[in-house]
Amino acid sequence: MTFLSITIRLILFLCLIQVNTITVADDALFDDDLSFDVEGQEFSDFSDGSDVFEVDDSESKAYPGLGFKLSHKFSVDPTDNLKTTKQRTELTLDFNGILPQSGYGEMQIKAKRYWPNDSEYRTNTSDLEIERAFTQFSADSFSVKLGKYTIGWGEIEGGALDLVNPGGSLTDPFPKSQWLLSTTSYFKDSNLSTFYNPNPTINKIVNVALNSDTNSEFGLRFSTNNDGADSAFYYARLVPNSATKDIANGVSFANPYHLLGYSGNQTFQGNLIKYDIAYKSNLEHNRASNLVEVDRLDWGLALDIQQDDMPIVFSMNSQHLIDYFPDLLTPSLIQNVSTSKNNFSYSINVNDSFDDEDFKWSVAASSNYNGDMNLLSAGIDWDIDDQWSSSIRGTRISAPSDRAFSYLDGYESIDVELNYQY
Amino acid sequence: MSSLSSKNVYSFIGMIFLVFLLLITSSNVTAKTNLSARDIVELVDESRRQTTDSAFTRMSLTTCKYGISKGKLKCAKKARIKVIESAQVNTGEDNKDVKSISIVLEPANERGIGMLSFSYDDSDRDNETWIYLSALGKVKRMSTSSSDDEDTESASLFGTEITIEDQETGKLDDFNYEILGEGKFRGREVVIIESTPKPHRLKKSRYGKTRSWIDSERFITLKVQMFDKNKKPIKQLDAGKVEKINDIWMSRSLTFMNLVTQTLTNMKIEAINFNIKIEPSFLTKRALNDQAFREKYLLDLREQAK
Repeated sequence: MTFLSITIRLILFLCLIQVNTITVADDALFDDDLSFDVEGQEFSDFSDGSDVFEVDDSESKAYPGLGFKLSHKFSVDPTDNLKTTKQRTELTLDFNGILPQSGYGEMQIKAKRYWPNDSEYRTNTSDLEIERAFTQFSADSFSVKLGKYTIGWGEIEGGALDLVNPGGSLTDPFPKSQWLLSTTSYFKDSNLSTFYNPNPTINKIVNVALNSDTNSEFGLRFSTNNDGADSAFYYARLVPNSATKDIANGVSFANPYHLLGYSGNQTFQGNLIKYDIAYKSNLEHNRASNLVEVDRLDWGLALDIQQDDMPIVFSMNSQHLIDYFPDLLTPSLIQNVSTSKNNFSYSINVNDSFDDEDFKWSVAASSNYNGDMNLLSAGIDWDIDDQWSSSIRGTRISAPSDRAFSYLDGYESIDVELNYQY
Repeated sequence: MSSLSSKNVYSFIGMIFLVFLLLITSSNVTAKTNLSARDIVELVDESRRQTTDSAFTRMSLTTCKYGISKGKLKCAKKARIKVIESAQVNTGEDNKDVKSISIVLEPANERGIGMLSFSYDDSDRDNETWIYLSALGKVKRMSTSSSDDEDTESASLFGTEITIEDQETGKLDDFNYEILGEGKFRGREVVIIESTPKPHRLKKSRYGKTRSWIDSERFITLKVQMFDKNKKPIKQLDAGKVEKINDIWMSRSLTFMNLVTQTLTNMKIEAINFNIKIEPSFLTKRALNDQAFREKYLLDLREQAK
């Protein structure tokens, strides 16, 4: 056998190997491991219109602009033999739709029925309230919104700048909507929004007369969008969301103050840093013998981390009294306590789902006003199906006996909720 | 011929070696189209981008525990269904970045939630997401889990089995590609391509490798198997209801099966239109909290969708 013939045979052999590695792949790769929804159908019948999974065509809602929610809420006090503190049923109706002339409207009405063992039953057996009702009209670069709704300012919920709407309570954490007029002008990478509130809601002190004229509120915000970051500047004349008791005279006041602020956020490696800073002037504060006006610098810093699908939020808020007097006092339900020059609050919120993703858990812990009130809350939410959901939540508060929130020390509550929504 | 010089012997050996090398490298091209694995993946990516560029979609996401009963794939428990409308455009250099806005229509407890997303082809750039919460009256920027921590999983899309990583387009340079074979699958001629993430990508990805069954005529993906970093199959995607819309082949039904938890999500495209005019101003935060502005645009887009 000549060298040439050996060479040719070798080349042909190598070609044969390579051809076989292309065309003779593992036959198992071409097996279909899934059957079809039509019984008896052969794999060779699979056509463009076929699918491995068939779902019933979901029916569209007959009235897409109408929403309906029925909730039953029940709370007990574990420190008082599980005595019922709340039992009420709420019916919420939502309407929304397009209006002529590039408009849009929304309305939410809530009716509440308090049951005899509810703490509200003595003063109220039922309640009907418009939670939200507004119309909005938009042109090319301008929009106006009028009605009852919520405006969220700042990056941190309930933080230094989130003051346009009064915050929620322990049992209802969402801010309360108010009657507002707002406008927004849109530019390329920024927008300027304003709001006007003719009659701000004030949380009054029980059995203490409010001795203030009705003062309106207004404010403006200039927001910009940058790569990986948002920021905004704020100016407002605001009325305090809660009245301040004048210790000397036994009445309360809610006189306007001014705010100048800045907020921003910045992403880094998938996490998010958020911050708010606000300079507030002419805030009313008690001294030993009279009410004075003080200036204060408030700021907040928060870190949002996404660990898999689990969000973790740390936040810190501070109030620094620029005008500080050693005899500054903070009135509370039981006693008047001294006021610190710096007040710090911290919180952490974590939530995630269990292996069965219909069940989710959440934990929140916070320490407010230099430890004057410490709160721990944990809960489980169950998404039964697309209409039904329920939750159970436990809350505990501890507070030093000589500070402003001492009346809340030992507060415990277990809250259960069942919802049907369509 | 029986006696050759040393120089000629070495020349022949070198030639044989060269031929062998050529044959090895050409094993990564298809026999029929002569396209390399990378060429095919680029064509699939290009085809997929065309269905997402300037596109408006109404889709339903059905999630449930699944089982195979009497040879059939079906939900073992009552399914959770989300209906979402979405508009998106491709932007940036080479049109490889994506801006999209999604509005949840159902279920009732999530109705009205809007999400704005900017996804970037550049691996060094974080994706951006904002969400509008009407109860708080504000648009919030969300953190995204694009961490380099290899134990961090990609965030899921609206709580379904579809992750943001599953929806990604582009970033083709992050993988190595190899053709495993060609043949017939579900009545179509396919090429099977295995994609292996490069080290920098492997850190961020849930998958150690993926295998894709690609229709070699239409360049759409019919099936994908995803493996974890121990090469164990953990997820599978099956495409169905293939049709040609606006001269582009696409699948109207994508079923993502989590093989570990036995849970699936089916994405069914109920209406779609692409290569339509979508104003850049629509894909901004304004569309999240200016409902009048948003509804005006959506009305027009809905009328155009098929």
